[in-house]
Amino acid sequence: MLLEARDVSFRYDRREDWLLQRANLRIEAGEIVGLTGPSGIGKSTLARLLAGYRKPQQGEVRLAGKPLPSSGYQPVQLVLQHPEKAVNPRWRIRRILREGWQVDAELRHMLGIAEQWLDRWPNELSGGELQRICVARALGPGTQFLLADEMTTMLDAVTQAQIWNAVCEIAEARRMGMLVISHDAHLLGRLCNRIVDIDTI
Amino acid sequence: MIRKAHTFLSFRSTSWSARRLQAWLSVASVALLLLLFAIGALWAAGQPIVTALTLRNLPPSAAYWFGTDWLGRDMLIRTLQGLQLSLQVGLAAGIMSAAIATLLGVLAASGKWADRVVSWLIDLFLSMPHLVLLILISFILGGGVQGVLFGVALTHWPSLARVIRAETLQLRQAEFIQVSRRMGNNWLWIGWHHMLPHLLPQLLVGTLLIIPHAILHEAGVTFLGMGLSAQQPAIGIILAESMRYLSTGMWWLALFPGLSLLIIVRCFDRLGHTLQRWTDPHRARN
Repeated sequence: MLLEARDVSFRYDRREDWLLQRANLRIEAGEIVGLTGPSGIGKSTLARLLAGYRKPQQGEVRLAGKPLPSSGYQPVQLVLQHPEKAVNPRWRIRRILREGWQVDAELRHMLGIAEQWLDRWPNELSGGELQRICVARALGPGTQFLLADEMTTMLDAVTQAQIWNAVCEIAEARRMGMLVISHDAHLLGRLCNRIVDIDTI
Repeated sequence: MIRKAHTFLSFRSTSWSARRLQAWLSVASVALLLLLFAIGALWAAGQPIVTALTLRNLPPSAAYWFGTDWLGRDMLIRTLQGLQLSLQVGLAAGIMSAAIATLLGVLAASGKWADRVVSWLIDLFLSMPHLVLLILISFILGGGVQGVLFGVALTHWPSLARVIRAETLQLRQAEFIQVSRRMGNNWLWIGWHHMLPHLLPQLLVGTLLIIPHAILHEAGVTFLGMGLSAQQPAIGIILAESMRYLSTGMWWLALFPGLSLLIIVRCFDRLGHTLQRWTDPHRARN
């Protein structure tokens, strides 16, 4: 299984310059790739293209040689920096966790999701607690690639470690590929098999 | 640190409950007024309007609270019946208007071209004075209840449509909606489960705020003689007729019906604004 961006170019507006131009990136199953580089030059955009949130104007994103599926549960899941924006504020946690798949007790335990959170509203959880929910939601059985865009940047060191431990364990067990976008060179060094600079792709 | 957070929270909750009490009181007083009116209207509906020439032009008294007119008709009964008709027309027109607004607002958010067409329509309708357009439509449709109803319904949707359009556009771009797409949910499912609960409060408030406008415009058009026919006990007709007698000193013919109309309209306005504050996501917590 291979997730790749082939010569993708993208800009948000036709009057603007290209944000990404002929960018290439390959992620193998079971591989953890770090993506780094200065702010505002398209790291998040590349992740959005890879996850199918946006379509590139040129080039293509391929999963195992085929385009991304247009409907159904997506095998490429993206977890973003701000969990409070990624959940419906009018839904209880239990319902949020159930949206994509039935998150089991084992995964909840691994990510440190407490039973009593389930009946709360999103604004009654902290950012770290909410991000665990978002990570759990994205780790459905159909997920083959997980893209983490500054997933733990806003969180404290202990929460960070706990989330990454759980995610890496699951990734290894399922031979899931991962793309980790971060400014934290230390974190990337610990997690990744290889690190790519956005300028070089 | 924990203590600080605690006092902050408790401060928030007291001010919040005070505001809630205020909102409750406001809603309760409005509800009481509307209930009073409903009982009055129910009573008035069973009362025939009797012409009694011996009881002409009586000022307000214990027997005739709102006085009588130049044909000896009880103005209280006429006012209550008139208000009831005005309210029915206003409510129906307001709800129709809200339905048009929702349809067009959601349509506008669905695509670029639909957005252009709908936005152009909204601008067109907003750039014309309500009353002129209303009179025109009512006149084309031949006046009467039907004319006023469609006239009001077809002129009051643009501002709510604009709100619904903006909300829907914003929601479509919201991260949790995009995530929901990636979780394999289709637009229909997302529209029902994610978007509708967000739009519903806006819709409810919008409809409630259209209703007072609709009632006033119905009365206004009728007053000008382009609306409901003279045989109907509409509040606009009553006010128009009373104009002829005002100069002879019969002040009660205009004052009480006018005041009643104002109170009813204010009731709906108040209800709408209270609800609006209630459903504000920054203040309300489910």
